[in-house]
Amino acid sequence: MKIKFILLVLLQCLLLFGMIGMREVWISTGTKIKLKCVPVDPRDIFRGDYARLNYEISTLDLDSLNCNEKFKRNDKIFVSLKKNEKDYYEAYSVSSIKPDEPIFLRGRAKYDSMTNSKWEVKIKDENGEVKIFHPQWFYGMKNGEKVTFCLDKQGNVLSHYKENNEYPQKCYGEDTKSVSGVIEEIIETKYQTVNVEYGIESYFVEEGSGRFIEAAPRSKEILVEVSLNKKGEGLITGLFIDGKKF
Amino acid sequence: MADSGDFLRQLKKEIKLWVSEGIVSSEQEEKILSRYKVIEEAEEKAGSSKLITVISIMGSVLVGIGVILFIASNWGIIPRFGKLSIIFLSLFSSYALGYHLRYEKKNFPKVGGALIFLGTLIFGAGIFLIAQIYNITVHYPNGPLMWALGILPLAYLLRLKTILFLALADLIVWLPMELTFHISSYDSGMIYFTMFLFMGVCYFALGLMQFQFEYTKELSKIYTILGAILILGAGYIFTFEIAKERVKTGGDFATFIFGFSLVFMALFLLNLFFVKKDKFILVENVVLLFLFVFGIWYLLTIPSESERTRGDFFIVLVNVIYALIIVGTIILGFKKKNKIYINVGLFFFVLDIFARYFDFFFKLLPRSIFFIVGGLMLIFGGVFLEKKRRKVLKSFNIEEEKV
Repeated sequence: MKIKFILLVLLQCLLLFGMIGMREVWISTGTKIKLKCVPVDPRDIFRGDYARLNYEISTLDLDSLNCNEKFKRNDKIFVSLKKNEKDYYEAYSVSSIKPDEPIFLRGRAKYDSMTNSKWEVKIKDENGEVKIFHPQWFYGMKNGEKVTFCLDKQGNVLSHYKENNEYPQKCYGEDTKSVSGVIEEIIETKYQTVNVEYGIESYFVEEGSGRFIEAAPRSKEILVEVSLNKKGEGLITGLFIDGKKF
Repeated sequence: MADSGDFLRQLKKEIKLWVSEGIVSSEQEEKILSRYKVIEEAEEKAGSSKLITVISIMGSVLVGIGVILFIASNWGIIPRFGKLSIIFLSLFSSYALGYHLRYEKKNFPKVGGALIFLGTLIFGAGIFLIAQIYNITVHYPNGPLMWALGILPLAYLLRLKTILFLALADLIVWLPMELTFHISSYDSGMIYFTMFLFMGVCYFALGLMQFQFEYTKELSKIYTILGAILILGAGYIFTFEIAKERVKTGGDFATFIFGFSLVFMALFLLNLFFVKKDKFILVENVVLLFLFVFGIWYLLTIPSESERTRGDFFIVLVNVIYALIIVGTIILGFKKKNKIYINVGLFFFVLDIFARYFDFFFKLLPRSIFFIVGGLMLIFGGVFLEKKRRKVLKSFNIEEEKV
């Protein structure tokens, strides 16, 4: 029995070593690429603190990537990547079949692909100047009505409201400014998006420091270094905040 | 392994019977009992060996949790290599020490067994550590699956129930994790409970089969207990309104149904045609088959978009079947003189009564009467059940454990 016992224990070790070896080979032979990400939140009971990573390529705009396919939850998705001038990779085509390009990531659709709307609103302000805004959503208003947009420092639309003399409203928050005007034209463009999971969404960190990554200000650039194997699977090898390795 | 304390208690009872039947004289009785005096004294001084088992297993669980938490805190000071070394070193030492104490020196078999169990916990911790080091999220359910498959052979080689329990529990955790990869987010939660029902049926059938072999007789109990709990637990959910829901929208879990069917059919045939020592096995197998077919039928007869739900008749039917199965489990416990069947059956009996009481009377009675009647029912029900249970257990000649 002793020999059998030793063999079984060795078998367990072999399993663990197999897990390690596979990853080490993957890291040393894989193609290294960098991806841009926006992190979110929490804690894994078995594996401690981790940062939940959300990449630029986690939500794909299928129309602008010239993809007409519809994806169902759990469908395989291949995303071909190209390096941009800022040194990280971006999606440039999407498909349900394995592409010929050398650099691609394989993922699964998190949900069925869905239709979203992009909005473009033209208004004429008091001086008769025509301005164009891109709010996240814009329902329940018609041409000719008076609207106010609340903008942040960079000029992005934070919110908007309909002008109403009985209930006057204003924009809240520091550093916001408001632009009011009469609606000239509302253009709603529908487009297809899909949420993709690549299996590189968790980055494990020392207990207590997960919040640090997640709380990194939006202005900071977070890049994740990923080692790609030939099947298009990724393995995280490093995380950079504003160019500094974390 | 036979427990010497249990044996002594049994012997004392038997010997009284022998004396009254005139098989042995009271002198001989004393002589026989004095042979075992050492055991009795040891138990009096040091507590029963059951207690030792429980304490050392609890110790192992605590150390195991500690190791997992240590890994979870992921200290940056210890390099990757260091963490892996800690895992491998503690894995080897707890296995080696455990084996030595249990099988070679044989002086601390209980503690040895607990240490080997600790080894299997550390093995699991190792899997999660590696997943953490390499930031693995790709198909995470593989973690518990690997853990279970890695320790299952050890459970059979050493015939340790603790390890078997851990392996089977890992598989219970793995099943729903894996399933989420195959069903869509709109699918009803009832799919999970149907799969748990299948798993319970398979566990129970495996238990029945292994009970017939001397080598696996002890281990088989773990399968039967977990199987019964899974069946009655999943079945409990089926007795609620929620079971009327539409089940499926577009998920693909045919592989699961196929897999479970294959395993169950094989076990069913084996149990029916090759292992026939037990006179209850036919009844048990037929009930299992019925439960399995019910699960399949439930998944296949999905109400169409226009119906949305199954009728009330379905719920009434399921409730009747569930009550019959609980009563059946308890009766089977009587016939087989198996207290586990009775305890599990009684537990779900109380749960079922409680749920139905809420279902039917909550709206009908004024709140105060509802709670008073409910409370009294539980109090007197508890007294009644406890009495009944004692009587039953007494009839098996089993003294209740004080632990």
